[in-house]
Amino acid sequence: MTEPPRTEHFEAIVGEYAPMVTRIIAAFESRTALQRELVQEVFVAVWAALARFRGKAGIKTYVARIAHNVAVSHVRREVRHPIVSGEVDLADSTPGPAQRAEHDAIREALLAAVRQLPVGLRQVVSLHLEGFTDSEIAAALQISGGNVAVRLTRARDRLRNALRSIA
Amino acid sequence: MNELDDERRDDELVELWRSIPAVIAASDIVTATLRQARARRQIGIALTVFWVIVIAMMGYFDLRGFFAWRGAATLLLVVTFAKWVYDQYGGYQRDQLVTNTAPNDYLEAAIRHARASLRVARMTYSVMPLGAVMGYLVAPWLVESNAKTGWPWPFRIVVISVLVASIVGLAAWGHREATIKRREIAELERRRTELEISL
Repeated sequence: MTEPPRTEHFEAIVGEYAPMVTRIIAAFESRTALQRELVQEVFVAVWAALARFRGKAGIKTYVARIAHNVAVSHVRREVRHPIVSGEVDLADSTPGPAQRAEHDAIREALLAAVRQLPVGLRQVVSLHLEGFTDSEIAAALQISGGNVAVRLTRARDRLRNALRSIA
Repeated sequence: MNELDDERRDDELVELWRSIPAVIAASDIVTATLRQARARRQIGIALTVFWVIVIAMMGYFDLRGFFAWRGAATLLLVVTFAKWVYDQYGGYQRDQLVTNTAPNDYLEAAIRHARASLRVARMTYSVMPLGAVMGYLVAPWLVESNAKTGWPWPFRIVVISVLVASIVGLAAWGHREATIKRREIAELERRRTELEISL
């Protein structure tokens, strides 16, 4: 019943874009277990959509849009399992060289700062950090280029202010 | 000079951002996705078969003259089946929504969907128990007087207990679901406001 070409195509997409999806989801959700669920949900949607994909916007933009839609609307789980203070999962906190620990701490601070941003700013900044150009961000979020620029400027300012305190 | 500083700082952020570790292996994602897709297809087939069997049985009882209003029960079931098929199509459209819609429009759709679910949840603890009581009172007029309904009392007690327990259980579930839905709608609306402020 499975369609080999679709499966192969899907495997290639997962291989290439799973890290990007993980990072976008991480910008919205701090709990690892929920991150896993949401990443999975994104790729289930990608699988369902693959048959209809016509390549107008490019698969990367397509996957990013799905990730954002899933991330922004995942309140069902959040409402059912409200986050408890201090429940934020720190990624890979195994003891290592001091430099590595410092790098991890700064990365966590960046993630925390991104999660503090309003949803609209969080969306553009997560795509910007993924290397999307302004026009690609506009296509993924279906907003104007001018709006992307405005949001990005505001997001950058807020991020710098947030990160300056830990630098 | 400032622009150069900004660019360097941006590059550092990008590097930091891309070092976020994966939470799930790509091979696990593929396996789980294919398994879910298969399970979803199988559930769809199983539910369709179930509906067809129930409608066939109801039609059979209807033809044998079990119900006073000939064809009414079968018609009701066929309409319910059609509604279920329509809902399945609605689910397919929701699948499309996640891929083709901008996040703010998707949030709008999610709010509409949550409101519809809230209405359904409210039905389970308000309209449904009332409907069951009404059904119990009206049932003697619906079933043919000569229909074979002479079930033994112990069996009747078991059936009635199961029905009452199901209705109470569903009403409790509906009440809990409605509370969750209200919270969901509030959170979705908060996010929509955040997005609108950014636009």
